[in-house]
Amino acid sequence: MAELLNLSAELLLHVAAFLPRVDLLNVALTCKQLCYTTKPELYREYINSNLGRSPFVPFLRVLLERTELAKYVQRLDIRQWHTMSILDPDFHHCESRSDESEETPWHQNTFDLEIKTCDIPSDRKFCQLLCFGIGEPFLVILVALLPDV
Amino acid sequence: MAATSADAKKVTLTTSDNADLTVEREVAERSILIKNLLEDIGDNGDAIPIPNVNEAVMKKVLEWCEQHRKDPPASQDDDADSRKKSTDIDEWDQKFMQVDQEMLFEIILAANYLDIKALLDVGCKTVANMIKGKSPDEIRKTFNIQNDFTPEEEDQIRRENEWAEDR
Repeated sequence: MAELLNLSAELLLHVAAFLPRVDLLNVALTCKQLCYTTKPELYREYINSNLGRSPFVPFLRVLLERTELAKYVQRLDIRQWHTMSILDPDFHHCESRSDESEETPWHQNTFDLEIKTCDIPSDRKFCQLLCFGIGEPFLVILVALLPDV
Repeated sequence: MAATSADAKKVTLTTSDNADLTVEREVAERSILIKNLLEDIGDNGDAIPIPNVNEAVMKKVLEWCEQHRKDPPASQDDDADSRKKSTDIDEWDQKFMQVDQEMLFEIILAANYLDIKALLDVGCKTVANMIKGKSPDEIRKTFNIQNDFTPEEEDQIRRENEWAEDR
């Protein structure tokens, strides 16, 4: 007897391709088979261009925990992100200046005053920025997780 | 190249339950599988076996092919178009798809096997429309699906999919 669950994974995915996200979320909760077979469609696009929607962190956390899902992501559409300017409103003006300038650079809010930015290992800087919710490092991770990059 | 309507060429299809159905070649060639078969073996008048489709389903599929015999062939862009997630179905097709679930899934399986992309899309859109707007429980009831998640597993999926929820 032909039933929905008798369809091949390929055909179930074909059905899923016609479903908006809200329905894909409901389908994922019906049973294991549908949850598994419709995942590629759920993860195909990550769009957070509407402020306050689909925030970076939960999406990244899933991809970091379940890296096999990253291969399904085919499109990223990302809104303007929090950038250095929330740490240092003058950031854009001092971009052209060297880090050793006389004025207080942004990193002195974060790191020890005595340490020069160039002495801080870049992965530590990276993690620090990540903790502050700065957009760029999230983006770097997201893009790095995409297949064929 | 194409036969005139007066002496339109016919082909005979033998279904899985050994019924012979004779249709115009143009109608049968909505199926890319049959079209390729006819091109490969040449039309020698022999019946073409369709071992995966029974008579009832084949008749239904041919009814669709007859209605859509003059449709332009699917273009390469169609794949990109289907990404728009539109589940609009034209009126004739909607009526055509008013069948029980068993037949609906048989049509989808046959369209996939026979390689009739437009019919496959209509079938899948029909299923998608049956899912849209329903809760997980309503979807299970509609399609006779058993919930095989433990409450813990269900929680895990909710957490995992949290990012995709519009809040």
